[in-house]
Amino acid sequence: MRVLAYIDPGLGALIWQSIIGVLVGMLFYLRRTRKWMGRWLGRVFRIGQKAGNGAVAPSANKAPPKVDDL
Amino acid sequence: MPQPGPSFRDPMGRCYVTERGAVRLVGAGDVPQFECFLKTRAARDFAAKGQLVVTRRLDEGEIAALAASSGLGSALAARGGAAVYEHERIPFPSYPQEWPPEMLWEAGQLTLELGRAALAEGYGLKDATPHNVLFRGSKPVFVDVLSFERREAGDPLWKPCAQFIRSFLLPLLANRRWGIALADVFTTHRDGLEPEEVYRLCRPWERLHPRLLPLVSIPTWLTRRADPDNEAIYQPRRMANAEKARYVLESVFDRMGRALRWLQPAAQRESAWSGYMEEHSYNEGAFAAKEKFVGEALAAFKPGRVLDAGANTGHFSALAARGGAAVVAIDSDAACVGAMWRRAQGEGLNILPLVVNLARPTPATGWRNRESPSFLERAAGAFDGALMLGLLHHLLVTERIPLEEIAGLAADLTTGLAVIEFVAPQDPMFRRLTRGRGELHAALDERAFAEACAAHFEIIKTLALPGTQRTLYWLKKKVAR
Repeated sequence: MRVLAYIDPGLGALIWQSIIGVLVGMLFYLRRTRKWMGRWLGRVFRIGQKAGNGAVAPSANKAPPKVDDL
Repeated sequence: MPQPGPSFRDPMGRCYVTERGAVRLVGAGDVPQFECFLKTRAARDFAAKGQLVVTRRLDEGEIAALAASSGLGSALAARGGAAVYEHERIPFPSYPQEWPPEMLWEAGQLTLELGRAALAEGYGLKDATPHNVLFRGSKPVFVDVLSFERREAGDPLWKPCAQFIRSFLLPLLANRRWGIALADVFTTHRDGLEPEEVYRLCRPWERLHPRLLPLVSIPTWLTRRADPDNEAIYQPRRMANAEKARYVLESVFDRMGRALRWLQPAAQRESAWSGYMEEHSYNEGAFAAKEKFVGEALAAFKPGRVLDAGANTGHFSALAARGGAAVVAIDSDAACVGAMWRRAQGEGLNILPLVVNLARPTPATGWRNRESPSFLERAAGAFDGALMLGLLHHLLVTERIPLEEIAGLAADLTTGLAVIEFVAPQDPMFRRLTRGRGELHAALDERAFAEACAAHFEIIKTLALPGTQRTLYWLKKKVAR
């Protein structure tokens, strides 16, 4: 792909954007993990509630879903 | 009206302005992505709302007709495989050096909204300058459709971020913090202000302000420390995870949006003239008579395009706009023009408010002085009605412009109607401006004014405003023989 951005990208501003980009990238994974944890805990909690109501409890050995599956 | 020269900075194509509208030549290799962008939902939605200029590809027959009817014959003949597109005409182009802060802010807002919407469609905005935006009345229209290009999915950087900061955020900051007029910034700096320039203006403790750190101080410190010859800084970054890259990019738009919101101009800005409508020297009857006289002149002549010079907060511009005219309202006071813009937005009036001092109108700027024609070049022949109310004494006294010159300029600014308010030297506002130099204007009286007008206009009607030293003149431009 041709990149035809012809404007002056600045120097300090570009470096700063790159630094912030790395930090925000880390935040991206943190948020994703938090989301995944929330869903996983929610599911475990819900199933636990159902089990308490007489439903069949899930197998304790069942592996949690992969992050990419969520 | 003389047209600006071609826009040529973008390697993807050129844009020419003609009487009918703008004509854009797009290189053959870039046509598919350009057309794809035009078909995106974002492009169609923004065009439908009037926020993105309407664009249409011309067929060979239309290109031949255009070559014959416009001065673009040689450019079209030498276009190679380039496709030709026509944009709708935006009446009376204006430039950032003529906008109040409110309009620059609105243009920045539209730029970010479009950048975000394009991102959702897999496109990126490759430049972020106020020169991409024109105003149709008080509403911004993004006109540089070629600014959108397909983005690499893993690219987390918004390269024009620095340009957005330079040309939107820092001029707004300099205006708000140090009162630096946007005209002063953009007449001499096409791309706004560098962080280093603003850094020098800041006091030491201001440089540590949480809002200024990312916009001004950190970029300045990093520029000083970085090796300017290190090409690696400018190499494209690619993330393996496209979703993460988009998340990072969205956060850039979020930060720019927050900074822009922080810099939103205050609703009530005060200046020497912003309270004029509440404090003027007319008695109630005189002001009502003035309104009636101007209203009658507008209703009788029905001008389609009106220039209101010295418009203050736009009282008479609104009168003309309500009568169906497209109004360009100018005043040298940015606070008044900002208030006028808010009024036009709020009441949905077709008024383009601009910060222009008629005694020092916007000069032509840019390459060969052809990128942005001067205000007077754009105004010539553009209006069939002109209002010059409460302006004469400012031009005569403050600017020391001779009466004949003022009448000549009024004739240049309209092709038909003019309503001019004569202000006698005995008027309290006139006397306040003279500051002891009253003798300079001893010979000024209504007869001298009428003679100066008669060189260019027929005097249709006059009205002496009761209880004042002012007379309104309803004038019709003489047809040149």
